[in-house]
Amino acid sequence: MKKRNNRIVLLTALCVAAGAVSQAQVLGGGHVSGNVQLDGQISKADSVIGSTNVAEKLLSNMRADVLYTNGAISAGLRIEGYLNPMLGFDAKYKGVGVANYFVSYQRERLSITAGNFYEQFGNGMILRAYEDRYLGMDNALRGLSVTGRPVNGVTLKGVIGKQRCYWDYGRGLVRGLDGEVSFNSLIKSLEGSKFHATVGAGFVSKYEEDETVNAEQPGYKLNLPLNVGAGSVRMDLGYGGFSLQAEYARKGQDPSIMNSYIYRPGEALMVNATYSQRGFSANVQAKRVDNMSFKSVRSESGQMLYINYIPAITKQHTYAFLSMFPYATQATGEMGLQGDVMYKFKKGTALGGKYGTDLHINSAIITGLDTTRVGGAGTYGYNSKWLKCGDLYYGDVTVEVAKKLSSAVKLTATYGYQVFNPEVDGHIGNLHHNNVVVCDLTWKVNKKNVLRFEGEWLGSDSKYGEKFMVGGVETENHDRRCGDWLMGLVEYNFLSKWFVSVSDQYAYRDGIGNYYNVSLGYNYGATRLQIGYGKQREGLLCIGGVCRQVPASNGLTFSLTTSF
Amino acid sequence: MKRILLTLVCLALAGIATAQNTVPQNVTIKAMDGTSVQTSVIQNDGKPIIISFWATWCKPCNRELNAIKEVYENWQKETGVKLVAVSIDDARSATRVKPHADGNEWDYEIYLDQNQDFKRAMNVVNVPHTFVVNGKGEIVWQHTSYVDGQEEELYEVVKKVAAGEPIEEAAE
Amino acid sequence: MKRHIIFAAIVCAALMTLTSCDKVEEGKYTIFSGAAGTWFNSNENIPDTQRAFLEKYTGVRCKNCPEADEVIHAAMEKYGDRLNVASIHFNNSFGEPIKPTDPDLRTEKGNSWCDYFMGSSAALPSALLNRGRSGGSWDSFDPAAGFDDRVDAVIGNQASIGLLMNAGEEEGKPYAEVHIGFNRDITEALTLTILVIEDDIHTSQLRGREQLDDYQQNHVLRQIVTDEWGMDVVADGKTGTKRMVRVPVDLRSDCARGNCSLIAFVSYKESREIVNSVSCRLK
Repeated sequence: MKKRNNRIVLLTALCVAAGAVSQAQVLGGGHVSGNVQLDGQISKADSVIGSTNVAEKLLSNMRADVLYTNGAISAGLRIEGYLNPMLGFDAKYKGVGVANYFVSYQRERLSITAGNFYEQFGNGMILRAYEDRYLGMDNALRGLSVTGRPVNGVTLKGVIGKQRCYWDYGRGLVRGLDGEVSFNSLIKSLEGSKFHATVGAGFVSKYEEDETVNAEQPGYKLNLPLNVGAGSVRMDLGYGGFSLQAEYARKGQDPSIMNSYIYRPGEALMVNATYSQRGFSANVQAKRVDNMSFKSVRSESGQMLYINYIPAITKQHTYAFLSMFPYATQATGEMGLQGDVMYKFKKGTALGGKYGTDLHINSAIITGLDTTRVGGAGTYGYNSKWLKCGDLYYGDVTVEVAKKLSSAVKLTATYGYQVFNPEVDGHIGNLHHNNVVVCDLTWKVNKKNVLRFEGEWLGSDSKYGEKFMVGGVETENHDRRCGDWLMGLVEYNFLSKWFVSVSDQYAYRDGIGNYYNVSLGYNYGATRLQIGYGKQREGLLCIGGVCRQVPASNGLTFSLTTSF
Repeated sequence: MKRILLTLVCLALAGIATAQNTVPQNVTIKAMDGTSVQTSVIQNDGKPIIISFWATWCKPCNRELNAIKEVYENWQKETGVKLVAVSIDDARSATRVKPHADGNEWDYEIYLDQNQDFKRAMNVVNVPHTFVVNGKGEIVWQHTSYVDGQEEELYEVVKKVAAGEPIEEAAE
Repeated sequence: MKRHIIFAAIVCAALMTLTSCDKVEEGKYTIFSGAAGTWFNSNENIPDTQRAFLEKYTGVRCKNCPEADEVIHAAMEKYGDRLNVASIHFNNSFGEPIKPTDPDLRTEKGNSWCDYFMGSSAALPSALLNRGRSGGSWDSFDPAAGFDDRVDAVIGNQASIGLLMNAGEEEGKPYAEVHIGFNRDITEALTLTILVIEDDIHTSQLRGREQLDDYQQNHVLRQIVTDEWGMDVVADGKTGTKRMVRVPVDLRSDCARGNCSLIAFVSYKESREIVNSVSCRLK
């Protein structure tokens, strides 16, 4: 039945598109573009790293986007296939089909999209429909989206739809409205001024049918609100190099599995202040999130069906050991502060040398909330003090110095110190204190050949296999990331199209595992092919504070992407 | 049934599509002062444009944009090229885009594509992904990933575009 | 023009969307979903107040009964909710309506009480307080005499069972929700009885030698919702145990709902002696 519906919608969409095309009398016009990605994986059991044999031998994910554009009209569809889903992707993805289609009409004053669409209000604290193929995450709304720009500087958006959940759509209906006024475009005399100001507000409401959710007290079920609303106000002010952004969001009673079905309203505040000029910038960010997990289906506990998005404010590290213990946003409650400074020592100065030196310092601290429990499911849940911190979740300081040593050699040296609470991502033990040193050296041998070396060290007070008492039961630490590590990587780029890299991560003390990797890649235009062989650590893959658990793998992987 | 239908659709679309891919005009992106603008603002008076998709957390992107920075002034003088850097940072790091660019002394035209509408419209899968657009707004060259020194290859393309010569390495 | 239409459409959509947020009042976060008559654990705060239940046997043809009513009304004002009263109209000629237009205030289940506690040869008015016994027989007494001392003797203690009752309505049908809290161990079997009383019923009534045409009958037993000897209390009877049950009230059609109250009492199954009682208005 559902499949049939899909087909009818698709046909209608195509008819509309075709109609628009023929009406515009440019049947020969327009153009098609797209992209294709194919990933494959073969993995074998390895008890040391914790990988298991894959029954299918070969796992693959594929995806193709096709986009047709003709003037103001565009239409697209996406075919996804997971045969069978690669390690770390939910088994519910198994299958092939049309995952996404839309028809869109976009003019200067009006845009309308029917079908699947992505949207974000402000920072996304009340609504963000987005996808990230590497996280296996797609919460596109299927429905209708209208954006109007009645006058310059004023944007009004309205959306209605249901969210994608694997191959299906969640039963929750999402409706949203957002308005934004940008004074620099609205008021002629402000155009080109050093001062800028934008304000906005949005409201999102979710409707979900009633269901029986048992309260803690037997014989009682929860009196569920069927419509859950969330609203936010935001501003962006700036003068010259200074700018200040703030957004405050509030959510009505939303008992769900994410907050253990409590009736406390949610709220979140994010403030960001920045000063920057050429060669120097400083930035401070603060946030407080309290019970802001907002999903279109109450009982969904996984990573799907999020209506909103609470960004992490920690720096997104890219070096392997700095990102070994990534921080995942706790939308149910956290407080955080982050500071970031960049400075460029000028060429010819004592510290700048011949080519100049870049210094980048970043620090963040995230804690839980200080809460007092009131009750469980079917109660207000808890009370929390506004400015009082709870347990420490995460803290880090990173200092990075990048310097060109000669016209051909560039060195980036990074030192990082991290404190990580293993309980945040479901592990056990005391706080981990990690020291990380990274040396990244790039040597441009000649115009078409580049060598890159990377050496990393991670020293930690965490130990794999250490025993803890948890609730009176002796438990062993099975987090394979724990221990002291060394890593080396050599990457050779040749003929400007090929690259080969060899790397090894080795737990030399208190840890377990030896993760070697060899990979070969080819880049040509918009095409990229990569083949790798080796061991991949189990862990969290995080993008934008949203994380996915990836199991260990041992074997061959390949990936092909191309755009046309 | 569905698959046959899809094949037909794809063929039909391919059949009617003959024109060169151009940069979409009506996608909404954000300028550095927080105002929403349409991608039609990406203009350079008939001279070539480099559109580079990047993110603050992407190392190769930063290496590429920093490498181009060193030679950007010369490029501009010789060909009139303009580099438009489109950041795909989301709310986590979008507020860091301006300080990041200022801190690195980039003089590029920078836009935010937080909702990734432009990224999707341009079929960008991974960053860095760099496009060269000619004076008519047609995409004549594109490349993903960056290796040190590759900016010279990019500049060869820009020079050809500025001189009106055809590009051997087609967009595909 | 188009611009205005877009704007108007968005404003309309805004108005519709902005109202789309439900709020559940505190205290109503949970709603009952169990089967009627099934016992569950309770997490309510149950007061341990000891109350007295007075059942007064009366009749429209009982000429001394109005006098007893006056004494009882005075006591009710004094004791407030610590004294629960039900007037049971007797099943013999005392309860026979005087005029054919008067309502018959006798009930079938109430008749069983009359038979059991008073027998056929009762002299009215007569009353029982918590169905206490004295010397092997029911401690019945004439309520026309002052009985404050009796009430004081009952309510002076801390209740061995605390009771709490809420009346509610689900889909138009009223129900009673009774919570029982054990303040000491009770091993004997207990029963719970729930009844409906109605105030402000006007009938003819004999008083002394006169016949009143319009006498106001109050707290008249109209209906016993449970079995006349109650329903079993399912509980282990340990100190600290809190149990609750919800019982639908299928109100008889000739009752004015606004004048009705509920009384619930817990009694020993074996001896029928009442442990505690509670009342509330029927909403």
